[in-house]
Order: sequence, then C-alpha cells, then structure tokens
Amino acid sequence: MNSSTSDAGKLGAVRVWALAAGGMVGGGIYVALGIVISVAAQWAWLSFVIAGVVAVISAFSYARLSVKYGKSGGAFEFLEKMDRDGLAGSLSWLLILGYILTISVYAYAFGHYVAFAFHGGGMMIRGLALLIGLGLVGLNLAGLGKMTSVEVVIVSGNLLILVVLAVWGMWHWAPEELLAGIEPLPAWSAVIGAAAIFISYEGFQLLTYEYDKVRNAEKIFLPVLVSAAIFVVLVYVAVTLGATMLAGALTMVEQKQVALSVAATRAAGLPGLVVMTVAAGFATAAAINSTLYSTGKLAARVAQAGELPQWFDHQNRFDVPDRPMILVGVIATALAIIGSLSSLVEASSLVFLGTFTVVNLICWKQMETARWVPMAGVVLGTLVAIVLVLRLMLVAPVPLAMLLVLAFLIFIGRPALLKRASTEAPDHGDTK
Amino acid sequence: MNGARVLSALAALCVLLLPASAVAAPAELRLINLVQQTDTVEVKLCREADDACRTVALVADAAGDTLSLQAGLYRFEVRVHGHVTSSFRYGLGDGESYGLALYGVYMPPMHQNWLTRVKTVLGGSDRRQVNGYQLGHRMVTMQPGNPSGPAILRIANMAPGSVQVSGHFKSGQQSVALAAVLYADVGDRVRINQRDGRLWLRLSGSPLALVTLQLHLPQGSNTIAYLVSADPDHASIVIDQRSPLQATSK
Repeated sequence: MNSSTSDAGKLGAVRVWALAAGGMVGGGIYVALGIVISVAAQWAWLSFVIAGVVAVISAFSYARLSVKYGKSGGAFEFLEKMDRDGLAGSLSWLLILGYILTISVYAYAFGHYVAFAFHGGGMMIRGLALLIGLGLVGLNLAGLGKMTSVEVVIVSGNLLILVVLAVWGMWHWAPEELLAGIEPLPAWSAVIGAAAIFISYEGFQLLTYEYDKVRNAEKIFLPVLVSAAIFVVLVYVAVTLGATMLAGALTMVEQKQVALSVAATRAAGLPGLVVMTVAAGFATAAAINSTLYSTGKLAARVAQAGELPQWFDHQNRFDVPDRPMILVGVIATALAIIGSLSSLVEASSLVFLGTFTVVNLICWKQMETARWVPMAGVVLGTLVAIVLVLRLMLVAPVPLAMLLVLAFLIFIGRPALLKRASTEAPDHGDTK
Repeated sequence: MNGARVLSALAALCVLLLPASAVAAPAELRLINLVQQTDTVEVKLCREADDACRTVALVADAAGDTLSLQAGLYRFEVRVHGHVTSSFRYGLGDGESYGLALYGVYMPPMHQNWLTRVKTVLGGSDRRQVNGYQLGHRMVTMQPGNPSGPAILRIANMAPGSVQVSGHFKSGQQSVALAAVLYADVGDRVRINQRDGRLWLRLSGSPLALVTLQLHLPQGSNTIAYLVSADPDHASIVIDQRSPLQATSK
C-alpha cells in the first residue's frame, strides 16, 4: 500500500460520496418513474426499495472487492485476479453492451426533457439526442471528458433539486394521487417494477474505475459507497411519492418520458419546468459523459488484456481511447434515436442485474466474513432477473431475443471471434 | 455546517410553497361508450371508502355527461343487457379530469352454464370475447392546459379489426402528423396552434382517408379523437374535449 505517496489531487470522501450518489441519480430516475408506476402502480416506491436492496448489497460487494484487490477496474479486474480471464472478457463485453444501452437511455431522456421545455416534437427530440451523444464523444476525444469538479457540482445540484421536489410533493401529502387514474395492483407487482427499473441504480459502480484516484480508499470506499447507495434509495422513494402526489399517477404514466418535468410544472409552473429541465439536461449529460469516459477506458483495458480485438486499444494524441469511444457513442446515439423507452430501460436493467449478481457471487467466494450479505444479493438479484426475463418474454420478446442472442454470442462466440481477429494478448505480468 | 444550511433552505422552500397545496377540488370523469354491437351500456360506479354508488346509462358511440366525483378509489361494473361484462377499479385524483373509454365487441351470452351463474352470484364477471376483441377499458387524463397555450390533440384507436391508425390535422396549408396508434391504444400528445382544421384518419398503409372530421380546438383545450370502427361504411369519430374555459364536450 502506498496511498500516502501521492494523495494530492485525489478524491476525498465527500466528493466520492457525491459522485457515487449523483452517478446513480444522474439519469435513471428521469425516465424510470413513469415506467415503474405503469408496472407497479401504488407500489412503485416499494419497487425502488426492492431494487435498492440489491443495489446496496452490490455496492457493498463492489467496494469490498475493490479494497481487497486495491485496483481500479471493477468486475473485469475482480475476475482477472481470480484467474478467470475468459469470464472476465465475456462479462466486460456484456458490461460494455450495458453501458451502450445506458448511454442511449440518458440521451433519450436528454432529448425528451429539453424538447419538452421548448414544445419540440419528434424531430427536435432526435436532434437533441444526436447532438448530446455525438457532442460528448467529441468533447471526450478532445481530452475534456473527465472534469471531476464540474461533475461534482452538477450531481450535487441535481440531487438538491430532486430532494426539493420530493419534499415539496410529500408536504402536499395526497396518497390518493398514487392511484389517480390507474388501476390498483397487488403488492407483488413491486418485484416486477423493481426488475424493470434496475438501471436507476447502476451508476455507483462507475466509481470502481476510479478507485486508485480515491484518497485513503481502503478506509472510506466501503462506507462511502454503501451510504451513498442507501441515500439514493431514500431519495428515489421520496421522489416517487412526492412527484406522484404532485402530478397524479396516470399523468406520470402518460408522460413518462418527461414525468419529473410534468410534476415540477404542476408544482411551480414555469419556474418549476425551467429548474427541472436544467437539472435533467445537466444530469443526463453528466451521466452520458461519465459512462462514455469509463466505457472507453474499460474497452481499452480489456483490449490490452487480449479480451477485445487489438483495434480497440488505440489512443489519440490526448491519450483518449478514441476508437471504443466513437463506436460506443455512435451506437448508443443511434439506439436513442430509434429505440423505445421501455425496451431500452428494461434491457439495460437486465444486463446490470446480471453483472451485479456475478459481482455478488465473486464477493461471496472471495470474502471470509459477512458472506451472507453477497449471497443475499445473489439470491435477490437472480429472483429479480428471472422476473424481468419473464416480463420481457411477454411484453418485449424481440428486444429480449436480441439481448439473449448477443449474450450467447458474447459467452460462446467471443473466443472464436477473438481468434479470428488474430488478437494476441500482450504478456502482462498478471496474465494467468 | 453546510448540512444545516441545506436543511434550512429546504425547510424555507417548503414553507413558501405550502399555500399551493391547500385547495382540493372534485375529480371530473366522462365515460365514453365505444362498445360495438350493442345500443346501450350501463356502468355502476361505487366509491370504495363509503360505498356510495351511482349508475350511468351510456348510448353507443358517444361520450356521456361529465361526472363530478370525490377523489378516491372507485369500483366500476359494466353491464350490457343486464349481464356483467367487466368489473374493475380505478383511483380518481383531486381536481383531475379523466376520460374512461369502454371499447371492444359485445357478444350476448348464448349459454350460461352453472359456472358462469356461480361467478355472477359471487360478483365475478362473465368475460366473453369476440375474435379477440373482448370488452376493455382505457382511462386517460383530460386535464386542460394553459388558456393561452396551444391545444393538445391525441388520437385513440378503438376500432376492432384495425391494426394501426394514423392521421393528420390540416388547417389551411399547415398539416400536423399524428403518429400511428395500435388497436386499444392512445397516441402521443401533439401540440396544435391552429384553432380550426380538419382531422383525417386512415388505416396505416392505406393512402385513403377512412374518416375525416372538422374540429375546433380552443386554446389550451385537451382533445381525444376516438376512432370507433374500421369499417369504411360505418367509420366514425367520437370526440372528448375539455377546454380550460368550458368543461363541455362535443
């Protein structure tokens, strides 16, 4: 351990906490709220609690494994350290797919929220999604992708605005609005809701790619990550109750693409709309940016380990992994333009449920204490994932089939593809 | 302490905003009968909190009167010629405006076996279906907008036998497209700045208009055009419109 040698410029506990909490709230809640109400009705808040329990446990597992291995890199590094190079490669491909879907969801949200404020139609929505997707690729290629201080300000402001909306709505306390215009559903539908919107919690794990930039990481990483995840669960529950009490459940479902703007407008008219549009615009842009940056770095790292074609391991003059960044940005932007909200959100939720369950499994195998915690994450995560697969079989069989075919190709066809691409892994010191 | 400052700011904001949440108004509900192959439909609706009930008779292919109802959870029972065809529950929010469309094809029960009788006695519904177009219901919000703002127009496809319906609203030289809507679905909200124009609906893939209707869209109004039938000889549109200045429909 040599953390004391170069602590200057590293991230302290408060900034790490803000990035973890803000990273989660960054984009997901803006599009997840209407979807979860349509699936779980008055139990939408419980859906966020159920998904939140899996997320908190996963944050615990991610943090413990990061501390154990003392290295940035997340699930890919954990598996590499376990001599499971093949599985690490497959999982990293799946993660990259998840990040592409996530970026597309955020770009979709950006387009809808900003266009809504300007009374824009379909063309403006697509144009904005295109602009933010490709614009942030350009910014990253110019070496301006990671501006941590700016990110901290944006995510903190976003959190504050959402908390104000939540408190405002709950002050108004109108529980009948949780069912306004919709049919009541049984409590077990909360599990289906949890499965559908799991993407809302994926953001914290991007911080595991920055582990070596965290000051005193061995001590603070676990409590900071877990407390941030718990805080976000509480924020989501409060926002779900508060925003729904302001706008009514059916309004949130009918206008799910801009649900929080509708709630803010109901609460405070034009000023509410302006504040929420600014918050949503900056939050989704920051979320796209950090996800794009991390995905580019992950892809380059995986290519260096020989688990992606060498073509991906290329850096431009600003030391930015340009090829993966362009590829990921372009595919994600295209999906944001042509995809439907529910299928994008639910497909990416499935990818992250799978990834988090694998990380919980790794933690259970690698740790000697408190092993019941990651095991609970494995059981709960698997249950929620099964529910999501069953739901997608009924409501979105085509996106599910495409996702399963891609997963099959990743786990079965990837070695053959890599061989064909004549990838030769450089002989890294830690290659097993 | 930064935390204390943030909490104080939050508390101050909430106190400032409290008056905005004080007034409660009844919910407005309009029932729309789009059920095919029957002249009338009866709907019994009961508020679950106090079991206060009322029954409304609805003529075919028309929107009923606006009902003013206390907010809460309601139980709906739809009857055609005395047979319970469906029962369901919806919540109604304070001061909200709703439209509840009943659609599908009614088929009289040809034979009631002991099981359907038992189900009826126990309060169950005798659900029947015709070519997959069983009776359904769809709630939509109909809250009017800003009196000086644009009108909102949506189309709803409740025409059994149709797959997708699309359309456009034409006013002078300007035409606003209304995206394709699947059966039993309601389209996206489209903002319209023109006050008068003609609505054209067509089955997707067909170049010919199935039905057209002259529409007046007051500023801030919220309008849904329900396509009732895909049969070119009987195709018609039922309009539910709520205006910020007058709460009557065409």
